[in-house]
Amino acid sequence: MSALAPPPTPLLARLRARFFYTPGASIVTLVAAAVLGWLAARGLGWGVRDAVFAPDYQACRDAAGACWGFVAEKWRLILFGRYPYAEQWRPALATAAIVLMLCATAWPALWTRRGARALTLGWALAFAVFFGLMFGGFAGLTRVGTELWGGLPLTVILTLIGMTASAPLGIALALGRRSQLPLVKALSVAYIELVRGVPLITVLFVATFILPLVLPAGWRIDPFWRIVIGIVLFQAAYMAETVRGGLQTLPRGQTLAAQSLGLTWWQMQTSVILPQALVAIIPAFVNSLLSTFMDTSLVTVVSMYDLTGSLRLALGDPQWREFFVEGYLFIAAIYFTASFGMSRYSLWLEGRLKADRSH
Amino acid sequence: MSSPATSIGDAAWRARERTRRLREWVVQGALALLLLALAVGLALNVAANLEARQIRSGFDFLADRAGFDIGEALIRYSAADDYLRAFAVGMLNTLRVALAGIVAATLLGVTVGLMRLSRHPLVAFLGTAHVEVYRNIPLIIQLLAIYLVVTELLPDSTQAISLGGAGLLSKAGLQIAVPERGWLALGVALGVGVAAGALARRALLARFTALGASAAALALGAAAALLAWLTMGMAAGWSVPRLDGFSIEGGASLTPEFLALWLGLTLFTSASIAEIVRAGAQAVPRGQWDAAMALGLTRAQAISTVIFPQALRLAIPPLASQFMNLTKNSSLAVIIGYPDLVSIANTSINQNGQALEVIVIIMGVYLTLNLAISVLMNALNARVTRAPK
Repeated sequence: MSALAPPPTPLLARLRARFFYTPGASIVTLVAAAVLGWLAARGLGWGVRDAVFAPDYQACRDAAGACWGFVAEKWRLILFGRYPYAEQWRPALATAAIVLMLCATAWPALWTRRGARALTLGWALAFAVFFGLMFGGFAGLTRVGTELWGGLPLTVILTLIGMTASAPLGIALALGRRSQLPLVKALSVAYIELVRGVPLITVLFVATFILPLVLPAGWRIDPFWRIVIGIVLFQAAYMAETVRGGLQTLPRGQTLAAQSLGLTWWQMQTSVILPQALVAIIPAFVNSLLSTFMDTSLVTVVSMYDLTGSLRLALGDPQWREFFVEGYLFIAAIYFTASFGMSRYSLWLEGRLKADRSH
Repeated sequence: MSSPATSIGDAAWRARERTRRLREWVVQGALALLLLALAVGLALNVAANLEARQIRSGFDFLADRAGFDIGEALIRYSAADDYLRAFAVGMLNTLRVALAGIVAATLLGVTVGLMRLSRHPLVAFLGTAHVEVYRNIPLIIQLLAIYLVVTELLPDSTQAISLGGAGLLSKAGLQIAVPERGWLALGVALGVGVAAGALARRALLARFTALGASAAALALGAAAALLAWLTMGMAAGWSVPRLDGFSIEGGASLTPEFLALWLGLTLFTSASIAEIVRAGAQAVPRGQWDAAMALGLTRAQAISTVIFPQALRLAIPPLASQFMNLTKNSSLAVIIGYPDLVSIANTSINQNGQALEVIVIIMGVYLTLNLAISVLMNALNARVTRAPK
């Protein structure tokens, strides 16, 4: 302990300085504490003390508290949708592979040239494992069509394909928007503004109703891939704007320097402009991953059984229908945890990038 | 060479420029041809597919009899009316919920944003909790949950919760007492409110700063409008909701669908608006405040003429995009059965299969609404960023 450290303030004085600094503040403190305390007591009473945890319908009806028994009874239907019950270890493993790769990618120690190679390989493997396990049809695994996919694996894979496939499209659109060629620029701007101006539902409608019409007669494309295409086309417009934000952070001198070195347009973009612009938007990239994740819940409108859709499937059981509050709290908690985690991670990254730049 | 653009550089450079320009034209020409071919190919596919499915094309269907009922409509509508009228009903419903949502979300968002800036830790915590909860749960889950709470957990209409005689809340939605001839009363109240606000602003500008006068005028205008509305009610009599057998008669009614959508959109968007308010306030550098004090401005003058205008300038563009998001998100109405434009369009597609035309209509409407919001907000932005005379 340094001799210069100020003497510790007594707890009472500190409380007073923070919570009771004026009469008004004291009143606010007391009222807010009372309301919060009452809410916490009610919440704990309902959710824990009086709650039923066993999947016992009669006990649930008699209890005054929450019926977590609904979740205990239906969690596999909610998490995996209509995927064959005996095979549900496959979607569980497949989702775990993807989530594992996500966590590895989020670890900045791997953001080196060697790490990037390992990550790329890892992702290729994770996607192969995911589709291999989900589809099956080899090594004794029964084949399961996309129409039976559902729950968390569907949400996760829609998010990830939406993200990875829209990235190159978005980069192309962003470069197109800055192009010297009037036609390329006009087309890029028109596409970006059109898609950003309409709700995601209309894009899903296009994927559901229009896509089958524009394909040659006789071609069939199953609903899963139709929706994937819709999400990718939608996300690409937003990705383009994110990338544009990154491109705008670069000083014009970078372009001029590259040009005066005699680099071609292609060389300039791939080795000077894009590497710098893309690093600048990593936090924004995490945020768009987050919004894609939230947006995928809309596919329930076009009859896909993602996490939201399969909860509604579970609530279709008339016996358990009255316990919808518990069901919605369950999936809301899943979404909240993932989403809150991602947004905190993005904030942390932003701080880290700023610190990097300042020295 | 006559034009200066071609007389610069040496011959080799000019030759390179010529090749470069030629290449640009070739690239664009090829792109145009490719897109044209793609468009023609897709159009041929569409034509063939429509013929195979025996679906008509063109907008003639708008004059056909729609044949379906709509739960709530701002204009007179019955199943015997045509599709055009049905779409108009849907569009008005979209506008109604979007407007109500924008007003409520802004009020709530500004309140929560200010709470987060409070130096009181509990108040700041409540603000933060509001933002994190509503921002991190998908809107569609909030809507479905709120709708189920309204339609399952509220009492039946025979045992509606009475709100002090002025309203009834039940599974049938919210019914509130309104003056007889409600539209007239609403119009008069609006007129009186706007006139009173404008007069008050002019009178107060001489004594207060522009911000203070505007805020006071807004409050006075709202109070005058409420007073005028109540007076109209006294004069014309009140239409009070009451139970008649199993249904509730009288008063103005907000359906459970509207309530759920309005509440969901408001809560979800208020979280983003609160963040915009906070970011705007924190982005004004502290030096601005010190400089205003050094110039001898009072606290009110400093907030009104130095801090607030700069914060507002930062907040308006993201606010505009939140208003657009709210309007676009109102299309989630389809999941809880509120008859907005997309719900009506969905019904229409299921009936006659003319998806292409219907989707063109929806996109056109949303693009127009977005354009309108952007024009209005740009006008507002130009007004607040204009240097004071």
